[in-house]
Amino acid sequence: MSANGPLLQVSDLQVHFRTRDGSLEAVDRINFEIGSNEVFGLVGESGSGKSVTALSILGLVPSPGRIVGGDIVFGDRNLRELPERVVRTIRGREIGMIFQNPRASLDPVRTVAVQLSRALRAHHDLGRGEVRRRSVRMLRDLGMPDPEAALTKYPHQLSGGMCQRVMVAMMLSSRPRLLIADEPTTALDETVGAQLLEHLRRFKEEHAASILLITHDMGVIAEMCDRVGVMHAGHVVEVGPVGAVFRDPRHPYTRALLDSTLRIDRDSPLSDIERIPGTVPNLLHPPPGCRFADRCAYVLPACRPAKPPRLEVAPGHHVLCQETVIREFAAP
Amino acid sequence: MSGRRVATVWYQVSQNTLTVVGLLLITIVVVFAIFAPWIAPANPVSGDLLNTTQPPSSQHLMGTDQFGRDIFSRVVHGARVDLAVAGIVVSVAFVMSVALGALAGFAGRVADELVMRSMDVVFSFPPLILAIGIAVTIQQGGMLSLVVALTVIAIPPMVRITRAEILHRKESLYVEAARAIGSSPLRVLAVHLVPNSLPPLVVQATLTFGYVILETAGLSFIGVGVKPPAPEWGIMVSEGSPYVRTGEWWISLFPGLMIFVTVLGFNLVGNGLLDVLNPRRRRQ
Amino acid sequence: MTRRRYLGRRLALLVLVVFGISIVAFLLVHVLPGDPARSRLGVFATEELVQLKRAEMGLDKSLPEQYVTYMGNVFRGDLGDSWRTHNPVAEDFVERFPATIELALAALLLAVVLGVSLGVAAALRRNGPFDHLATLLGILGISAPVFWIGLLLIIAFVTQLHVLPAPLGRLASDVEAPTQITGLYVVDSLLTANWEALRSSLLYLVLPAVTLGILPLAPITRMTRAAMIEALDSDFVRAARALGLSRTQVVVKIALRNALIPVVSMVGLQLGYLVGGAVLVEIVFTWSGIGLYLYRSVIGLDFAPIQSLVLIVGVLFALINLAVDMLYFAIDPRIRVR
Repeated sequence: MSANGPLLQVSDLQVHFRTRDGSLEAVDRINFEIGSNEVFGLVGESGSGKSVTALSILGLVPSPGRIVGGDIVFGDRNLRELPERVVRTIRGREIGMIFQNPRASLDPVRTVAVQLSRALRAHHDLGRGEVRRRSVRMLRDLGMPDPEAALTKYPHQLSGGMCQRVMVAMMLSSRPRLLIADEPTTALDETVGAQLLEHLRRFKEEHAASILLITHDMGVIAEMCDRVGVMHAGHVVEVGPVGAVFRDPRHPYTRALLDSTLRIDRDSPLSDIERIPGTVPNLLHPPPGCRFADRCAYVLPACRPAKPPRLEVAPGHHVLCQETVIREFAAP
Repeated sequence: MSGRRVATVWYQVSQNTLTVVGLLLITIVVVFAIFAPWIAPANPVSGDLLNTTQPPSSQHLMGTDQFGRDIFSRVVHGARVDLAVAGIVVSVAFVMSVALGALAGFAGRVADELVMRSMDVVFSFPPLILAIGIAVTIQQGGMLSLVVALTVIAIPPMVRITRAEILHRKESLYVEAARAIGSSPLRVLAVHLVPNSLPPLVVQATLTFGYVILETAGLSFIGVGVKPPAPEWGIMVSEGSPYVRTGEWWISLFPGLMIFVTVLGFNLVGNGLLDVLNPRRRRQ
Repeated sequence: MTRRRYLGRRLALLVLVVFGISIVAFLLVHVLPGDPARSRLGVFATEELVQLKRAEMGLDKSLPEQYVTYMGNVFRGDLGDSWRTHNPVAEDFVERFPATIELALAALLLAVVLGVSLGVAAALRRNGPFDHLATLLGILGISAPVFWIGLLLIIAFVTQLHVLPAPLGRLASDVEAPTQITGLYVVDSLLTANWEALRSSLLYLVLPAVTLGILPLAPITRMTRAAMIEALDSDFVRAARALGLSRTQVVVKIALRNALIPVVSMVGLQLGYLVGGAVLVEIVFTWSGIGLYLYRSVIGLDFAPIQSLVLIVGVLFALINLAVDMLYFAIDPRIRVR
């Protein structure tokens, strides 16, 4: 494994969903990478392809979706070229994933103890006593009140926050090198969400792990991430260090996103992104040019006929936009 | 249902190949029933004793039975008997179910409990066993006991559906609106609730039709339904069954095939209607 | 706590339903046309004798009084006598019951094994060959009269292929029945290591069991498929896969385990239809169980057994439904008061 290369490199990833009316381009040739011991954020509105991207990395795109092109290189292995048998040994052990809805993600008819033991034994041969010791310790570390009692409970007997702790414990049990967290705080109240983020940060520090954090909360990105990718309609329109992107956004969509975050009161129930006017284009028949053109305040005639180029505006800071637009929009 | 609604449903139904096949099968059987005397080449009840248990031939399409009767003629006439029984049973059960379901769903808790617990009791019998018990007790067989027995077992599922629909719609906006403008409860029931509960009930009735034909044949096979020498399909299968063991398979095969084809037709159409009228199921 | 309350409600409902069943059975005997006294004595008894019997049976008393007497008799195990066999009906039942149980269990076993496998295969490859097969079987299986299927199978396997014995009972005539333990020939011959009887009883059991099994096969397959699809698409299955669990573990231990919950209740509901179907199947295969007994009683105008059977089967069926509900507690921890 190359010592200094990125932990995960996604290049030209394309995911299509076959529908009766044709192919839906949910993810269209996206590129980004995640370094070791780095927290990488992925923001975008619902339907922009964030979750599909995350599931692609694990090889779990739900039917009728299919990865139709691109590479996903993890360490020095291209996950797309590995047989399912091998990918399975990577899932859970080297790449873990925390899902959005913790209660629904737990088996409703098994106790917490059984589910934790499943996770622990998925990749390691452990005795009963050891499984139990580790289960209790993991739950305690995650701040579960009375972990011994929690082990005997079923998911429906636990609060959302407790379910989330169980799932996090399961997913961290093998100490993955990359943890994907898909909207991990959405279903939780603020305090519990903050505790969870704190725990993820600690996990990252203690085990030198990387995190792919999917959210639509710009605040969470600012607080947690080293670098960020902004997704819109199946494209990563801007990617770069969080500081640079926040201070000096180069894509009109990122700018709109940040503006709306700063402008509005924090108590509004709408997520930041849903306040941007206009709607995501129909991905069944996407426009030939820029997919943001119809919503863009800086749109130029050149944006519509041709796909926008991927430009490196600063070292490690890429934007998917016409150069003229970027220049005009950076001018004031 | 309004005319336009019926037209829409018809269009959607006609888009489904299996449903169309079902309609075709039903049409064939109905044509048999209506035009039986013209289609059947021979008398269905009197036989030719010189030509008993003949295998299918150009003269006897489906062969002859142990009394020398032409099986094809009996099968064609059998459509009359089985469709008539099922038709009467389903119509009576339909009307009674709407009444009982409306009573349970609309006339308060006591009526509801009374009706629904009675349905629970009927439901707790294996249907065929209860039907046998009723049929035997009433008249020691015959058409009327058959109809009563089958009606009793056909009612509970339909009552449950009507009641559920009415309870569900009782709280809906248009009922609230009708109440608000001062419509009497009975008017609300007759104009708004019952008509709107009909689509799922029509589906159930179609499926019940097939089921009743199966049970008619079953009861007649056992000997508590239609009596010989009537050309009823279940009896014909029953009469042929001893001959199956000696190799004369056609006596039982063709009447059974008719039962199968008819029931299949109703089930295909019922499923097709279910897909069209029940959007929740359609999405799956 | 909630379980206890649910249990209480469930038992109250059971008592109510059983009471209703007894009323229905009582009405069949006492109110509707037909004279129970005569039916006990047979058609050839003199009018005097019938009057005596009426008094003896309490038929000159009021209806509620008669109901109490009737239920008292039932609780003492007195279900009347069959004038055809000259035995107490209860005795006849006990004698024939195991045969029906054997047939029903074998049919159910076949249907569950086949239906669940087919349903899972259909759900795993939607629109694949198994899925189409399952759909087709589903619609064909509920449309064919069970007695006709039995005859078709006899035509195919007995009279044409000659691979199975003629449909005449539960054992070859030259094979002695195994020592009675459970009354199920297959089980008894296994327990007593009687291989000759085992072979013969299995050969005789195959066709009736397959015939009867077709009845519940379609709904079990359909339900398994639907529940399995729901489970496979669920968040918890996705999460389990993200954990790197093996496909077998995910499909069998997680998805199937969850999908079986509605299937179990479906199987419970099917039992009632199975009993009805068993009557027809027993006639076709001369299988000497309750069904054949019922049939012969119908043919012989022997009413006591028919009416008692309605009561017994009704109560039995209510108890089975209770058992299925109880089974729910074992397999679904989420159940509270419904």
